[in-house]
Amino acid sequence: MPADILSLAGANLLSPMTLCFALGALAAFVRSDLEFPDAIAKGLAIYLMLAIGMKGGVALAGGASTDAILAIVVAGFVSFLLPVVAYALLRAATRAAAVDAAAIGAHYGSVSVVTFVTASEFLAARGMTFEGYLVAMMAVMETPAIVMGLLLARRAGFAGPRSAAATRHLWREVLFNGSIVLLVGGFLIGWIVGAPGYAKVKPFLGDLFNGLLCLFLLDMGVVAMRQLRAAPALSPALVGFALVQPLIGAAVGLGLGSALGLSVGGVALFATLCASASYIAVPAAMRLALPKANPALYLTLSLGVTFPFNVAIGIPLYTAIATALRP
Amino acid sequence: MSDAPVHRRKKIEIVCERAILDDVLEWLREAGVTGHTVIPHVAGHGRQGRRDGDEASRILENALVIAITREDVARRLLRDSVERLRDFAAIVYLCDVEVARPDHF
Repeated sequence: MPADILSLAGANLLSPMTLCFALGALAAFVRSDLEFPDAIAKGLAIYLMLAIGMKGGVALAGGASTDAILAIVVAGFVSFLLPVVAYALLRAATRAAAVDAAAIGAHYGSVSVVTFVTASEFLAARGMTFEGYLVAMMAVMETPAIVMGLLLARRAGFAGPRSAAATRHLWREVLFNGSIVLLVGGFLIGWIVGAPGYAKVKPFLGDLFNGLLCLFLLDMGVVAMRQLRAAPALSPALVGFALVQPLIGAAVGLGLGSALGLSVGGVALFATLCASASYIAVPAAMRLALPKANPALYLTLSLGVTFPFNVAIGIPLYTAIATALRP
Repeated sequence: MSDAPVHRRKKIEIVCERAILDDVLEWLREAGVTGHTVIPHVAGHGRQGRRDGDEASRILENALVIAITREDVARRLLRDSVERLRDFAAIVYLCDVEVARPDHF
């Protein structure tokens, strides 16, 4: 099995996506002027989320099973509870203030869509399939962690938004942010149109997917490295947290995914979801709800440390373990 | 030209983080400001370090809000801004301006 992990990890490191990510990071590291225009980066994100949502919906078009509903509910609970683990770990092992630990916890309970997409392509390249409702599990995991983060912060004496208008704004941000609308909307469209309808858009949303993902990861490499460069020095304990917490999340995902009877690919993807940390939706929500938490901390940990770790090492590792669990 | 009537008003400018822009605009409306102009995507450097918005969630991005209003409204906003914007990246200041159509402000 260690040999499996090494070969999977090697194959992952040499995939065009991971190499594009590394190229972007290198460009930012040497302060190249390589820069994606904002509109293109946003357009790529919209494409990826719509495409992955629709693919999931098409896969489920055969009919929603009770298995799917149970798995989606479990995913929601995991997202709700993972911030508690992260919070406890941060408070015990680092010097993070309570409000920072609550905000960081919310990030680690929630998910990174790009990490999920990268993992799904990693599996597809190996001929591994996964249940279509994994996409719905991902969409469900975006929000509960935010609620738990706010509860943890309140327990530590930090109130949420002060005015009713700010509270409304926060919930609009949390429930209807662009990625949720695209994922859920794409999922429903795929579910409605099924395979025959999908065939019409497959040349664009399916066949071009890997190439566009390369472009997107190139940009993410730049963004992640810039975040790392701009950040104040992180303590070794915090960096350690950003590497250990994904492993804890992955272990939870591997265990529950197997218990739920997911396919090997499904278990690996669920583990990846539990291991990943949000760096788009949750930062925006935390900035509104917990302004006293330091954004440089949560952004740098999730985007600068955990995201590259999962893309380079986490995904092949979780896949290898999922494969070993169910030969 | 020199005969044109002069109407003095206050201009309030707020540089704030993008995340709270909607809240700031609502706050202005509630205070009685009748209109505003927003310049999105402004970059700079200050107490909170570099704010050039160069990352995925855009929470490090600023916006500039410009509004013209009566002096009493502007002063109240300036006073309330201390508490209201305490935890956020924000710069608030007033300037004297002259306008031609006083009923608009």
